[in-house]
Amino acid sequence: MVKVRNIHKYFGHLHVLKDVSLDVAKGEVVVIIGPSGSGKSTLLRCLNYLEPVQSGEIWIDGIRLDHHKTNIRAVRAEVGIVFQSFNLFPHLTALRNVMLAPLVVRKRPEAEVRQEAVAILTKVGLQDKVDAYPAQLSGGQQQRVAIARALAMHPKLMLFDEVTSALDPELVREVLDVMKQLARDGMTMIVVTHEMGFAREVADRVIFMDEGRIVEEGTAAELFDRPKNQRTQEFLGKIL
Amino acid sequence: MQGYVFQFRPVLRELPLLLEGALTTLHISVLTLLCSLIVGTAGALCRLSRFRWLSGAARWYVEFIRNTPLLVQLFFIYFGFSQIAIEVPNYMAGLIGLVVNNGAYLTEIVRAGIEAIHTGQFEAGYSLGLSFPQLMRYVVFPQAFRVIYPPLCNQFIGIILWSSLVSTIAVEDLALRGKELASTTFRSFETYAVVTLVYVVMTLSISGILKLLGRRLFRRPA
Amino acid sequence: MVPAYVQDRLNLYDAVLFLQGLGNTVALCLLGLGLGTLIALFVGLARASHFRWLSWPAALYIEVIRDSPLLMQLYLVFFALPLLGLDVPIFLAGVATLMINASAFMAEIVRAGIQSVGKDQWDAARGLGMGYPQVMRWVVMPQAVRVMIPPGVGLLIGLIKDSSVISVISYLELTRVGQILTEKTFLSFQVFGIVAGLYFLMCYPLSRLALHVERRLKVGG
Repeated sequence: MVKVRNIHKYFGHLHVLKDVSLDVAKGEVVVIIGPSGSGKSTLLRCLNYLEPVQSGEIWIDGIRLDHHKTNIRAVRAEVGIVFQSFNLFPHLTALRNVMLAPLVVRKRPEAEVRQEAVAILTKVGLQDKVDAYPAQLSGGQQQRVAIARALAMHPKLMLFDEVTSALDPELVREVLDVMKQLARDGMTMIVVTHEMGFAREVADRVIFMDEGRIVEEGTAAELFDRPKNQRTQEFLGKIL
Repeated sequence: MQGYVFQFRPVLRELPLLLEGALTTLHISVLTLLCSLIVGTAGALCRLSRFRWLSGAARWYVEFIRNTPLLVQLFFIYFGFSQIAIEVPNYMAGLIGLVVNNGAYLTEIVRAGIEAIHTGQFEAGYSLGLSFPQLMRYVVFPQAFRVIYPPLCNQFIGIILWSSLVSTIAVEDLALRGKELASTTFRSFETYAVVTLVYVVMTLSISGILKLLGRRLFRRPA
Repeated sequence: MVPAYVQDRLNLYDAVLFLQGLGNTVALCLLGLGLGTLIALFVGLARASHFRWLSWPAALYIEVIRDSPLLMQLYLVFFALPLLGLDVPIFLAGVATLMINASAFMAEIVRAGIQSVGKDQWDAARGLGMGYPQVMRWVVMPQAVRVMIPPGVGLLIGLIKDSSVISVISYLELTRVGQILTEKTFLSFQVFGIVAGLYFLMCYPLSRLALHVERRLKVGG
C-alpha cells in the first residue's frame, strides 16, 4: 500500500527527514511515536505531498508521488489526512464539510453524497450535529467531523497527525474510539500519536523516530516492553 | 494606434517648469500637514472632552468632512469667499480647503493615538499632581506620537496626491503646470505621463524617507 | 454688481438638475466599482500568488495607481483613449478611470482577504484532493469575502467622493451640476451646500453600515 524509499527532506538548511524508508501493507495499522521535532509529522505530510521531498521515492497504492500534478491529486483523493488542529471549514456546516470534496473533487451527484455523508456522520456518532457549524462543536466533535470528512472520499489509507493532542483529556476517548472502530473495519492507517494505550491496543507495528530517522520498529509489545535502542529506552522512560 | 508617434522631448525640455510646480505641491502639502496637525489635535481633545456639546461638534465636523468630497469642500470655500466678496488668494483658499479636510482625518488619527494609551498612564500622571496640559505634554503626546506616526505618514502621502485638486482653483502646483504644458506642447498624453511619474517618484521617495526616519525616531523598543 | 442675466435664486429646474447629477454620480460609481472589482479579482489573486512573475507586476500596478493622483489618472485615460483610436463618450472615460483606480485598491482588499485564510485551510482542502481553483472557489473565497465586505464598503464611499473629480472633464455628475449652477446663480454657498449635503446623504449611511458589519464580524469571529 505504502512504499517509501530513502527520502530526504529539508526545510532550508534544516535536515528533517534523513534517509527514511517504510513499508505499510494493506489493512495494517502503523503507529509512529517519537519526541517533538523528530520528523514524524513531516513524514506524514510528505505521504500526501503536502510537503515535497528533496530526494527518494514515495509510492502509494502503486502510484509514484512525483511532481506530476495529476498524480498528486489522484493520490490525495485516495489518502485521507486528519490534523491536530481539525482544520474544518468554518463557513460550512458539519454536513457540508463532509460533502464538499465528494461533490467538487469526485463530482458525484448531490443527493447520493448527502445520504452517504449523513451515514458517515452517524457512524462517528454525530447524527444530531449534522447542521451545526464547527464553532458550535466541541473539540472532540470537530475532530470526529474531520475524520468523517476524510472518510467521505473512501480513502484507501488514512493518516492521523496527533489528532488528540489539541483536545481536552475528557474528549480524547471519543476520538480514539472512532479510530479503533476504523482499525477493526480493516482500514490502512498511519497514526502519529502520544497515546501509548491506543498504540498497544490497535497497532500492528510501532515505529520510533528520532532526529529525522527511524530508530527502531516492532510490535507494540516488542517496542514498549523490550526496547533495544538506548534512545527508545530513554524516550519511553520519560513518557510511560 | 493610427500611427501615433510618442514624443516626450518637448515635454522633457520643460521639466524645470514642472519641477517648479512640484515645489509648490510640496510647499502646500507640508503647510497642510502642519496646520492639520494643530486642527487635528484640537479636534481630538474636543472629541474626548467630557462636554457633550464639544465632543458632539467635533464628531459632526469629522463625519461631515469625511463623507463629502474634497473637491466640493474646495469649491465651497473658493467660490463662497467670492460670493461674500472677500478677496482671498487662490493659494490661501486651497490651503484652507486642504486643512479643513485633513483636519478631520487627523482628528481621528490623533484620537486613536491618545486612546491607545493605557488608562494607568493617566492615573499615574494625575496622582503625581500633573495638570491636564502637563499630562498631555509630558506623558500622553510622547507616547501617542509613536502610534500616530505611521498613519500620519500615510496621510501625508495622501495630502500630496490630493493636493493636485487645488489646480482646479488655479493654484500653480504640479498638476496645473502639467495642464498648461499639455496645452502649449499639444502632447497631452506624454505630458500627463511625465507628470504622473513625477508624482509617483515624489510620493515613493518621501514615504521611503519617512520610513527610515521612523526607524530612527523609534529605535527604542515599543 | 451682479449682471442682469443672473438668476437670483434656485428653482425647480435646478432641483431636477441636482437629481440628474446625483443619478449620474451613482451610475459612475456603481459601474466603476463593479468593473473595478472584476479586474481586482485577477490582480488580487496574482498579487497573492507565490509566483514572482505574477505577484510583482500586480504589485507594480497597485503601487503606481495608489501613488499617483486620481486627477492625473483621469487625464491620462481621457487623452489615451483617442490615441488608441477609441472615440468614447466622456461618461465612459469617467467610468474607465474610476474602474482602474478602484481595481488597485480593491486588489489589495482581495489580497488581504485571501491571506486572512490560514494555511491550515489550504492543507485540509489539498489533503482532500482539491486543486487550486477548487480550494479558491469553495474554501478560501467564501471565508475571504466576509473579511472583504467592510473595507469594500469603505472603498465605495471613497469612490463616491472621488467621482467628483470626473467633473473636471465636464461630465454632468453632481459636482459639475454645482459648478454650472454656481455660474448661473452666483449662490455658491447654497449650491455647494446642497451638493455636499447630497454626497453626505449617500456616504454617511454607507459608513455606518461598514462600521456595523465590521463590529458584527468581530463578534461573530
